Amino acid sequence: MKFIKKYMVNLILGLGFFAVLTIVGCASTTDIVDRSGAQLWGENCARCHNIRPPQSLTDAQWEIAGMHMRTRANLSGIVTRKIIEFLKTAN
Amino acid sequence: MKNIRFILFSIITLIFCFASQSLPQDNTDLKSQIQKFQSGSHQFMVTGYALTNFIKPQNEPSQFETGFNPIFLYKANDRLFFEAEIELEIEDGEQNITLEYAQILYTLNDYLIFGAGKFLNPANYFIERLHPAWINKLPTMPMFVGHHGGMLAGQHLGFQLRGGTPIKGSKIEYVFFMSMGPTLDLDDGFIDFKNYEDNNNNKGIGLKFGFLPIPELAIGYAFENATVGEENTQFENVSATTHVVDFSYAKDIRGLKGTIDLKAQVVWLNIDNPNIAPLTFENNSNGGYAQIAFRPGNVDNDFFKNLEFVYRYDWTDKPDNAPENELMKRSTIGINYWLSSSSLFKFAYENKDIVVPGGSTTNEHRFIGQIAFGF
Repeated sequence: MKFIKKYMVNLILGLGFFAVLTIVGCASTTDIVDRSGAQLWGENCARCHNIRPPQSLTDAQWEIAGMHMRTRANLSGIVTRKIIEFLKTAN
Repeated sequence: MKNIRFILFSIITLIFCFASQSLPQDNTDLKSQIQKFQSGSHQFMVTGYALTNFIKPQNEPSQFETGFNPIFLYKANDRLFFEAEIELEIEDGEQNITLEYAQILYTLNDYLIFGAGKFLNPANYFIERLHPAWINKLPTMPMFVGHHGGMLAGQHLGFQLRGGTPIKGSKIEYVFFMSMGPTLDLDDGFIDFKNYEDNNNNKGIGLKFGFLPIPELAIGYAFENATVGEENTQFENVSATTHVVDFSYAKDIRGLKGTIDLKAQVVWLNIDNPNIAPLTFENNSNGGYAQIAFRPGNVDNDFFKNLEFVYRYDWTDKPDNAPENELMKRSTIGINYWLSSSSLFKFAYENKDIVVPGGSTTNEHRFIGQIAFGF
């Protein structure tokens, strides 16, 4: 009984935590798909490493690097395309 | 003589005409023509990173180490892609060549990618996202994520299905993978992650979920399970289960004139206790790390804006009755100087306590300098 109670408390706390995060996430920011390529570039790349300037690679290289990073960072197709398009425009 | 002059004039005129036709008409043409001959314009690209370490351990000779990790990328079309990384290093007095990963990827749709081959462990956030020398903010990796061992596999050999989906302003990430899984090592009761020849028909499975409620914050949970015992032995039903939690927060804070970066990851590993010698103990291990870094990148001073200050605490705790039941706790403090967005000097000092059976503690400390370059 004690075992079940302990896990129920942990489960409720966990679900509560995720619920709060979901509400915060959904309420406070613009829809991801509506964001510009520049904004998505800054948000997604800077989470793990310094952002590299658009001029550091050629347009063709950004196409390839974009596909590599799409897999690594679990980016959706539309987000990847917007980031690559921005990098090519700014290059 | 006149004929010779006429012939020479004709040849020069023809050469000039051909040269004029082949010249680009404006700068845009010239740029696109140059790009055709640059690396990466033929769907193939070589990138990667390099590093050199200087290590001065306590009461031991100082050492240099070096490594070079070329990454090969090939995009066949908008769906088909190949990526591979080779690690070449001189480390711990040995020269090693390792296939870090090599996988073929196929994009099924905007939200799902299939990959097969040897791939970085999706459950291991540090290895998958943060381990390259120009990204890792310290010259060392947390002990438990062990690139070459530890409590969580660095790579898997198998296949994966992965992707991410935006949900309004937030995002979820998901990965399912199946692999050879680790093997049981009866010498120390632990598991060996370098499994290139499976010891049973069971395949390891794993799941990873990530949730990003705001762009700066990512939290994740991962689960792995595999039968690790050798088939047709009394250990054939022994399995290992891993739970992993990770956390990442990076934000530019105007008031501090810089960027705060927080990272953490905790791993719990349970290996079944079959109560057959030598495995007659509760085989539970855990490890983790927490790291904070600050770079005052928005100050006016050119020197200070390139500095970064880092602190990491990490630990590994193995079972009390296991042959290797050390508890290791380590603190590392570091200062980095960024030369460019992907190259830096790192200077770190680490202090490690090792608690052995009976409670006695030994202490080790060392200085590590590193230059890392991502290209």
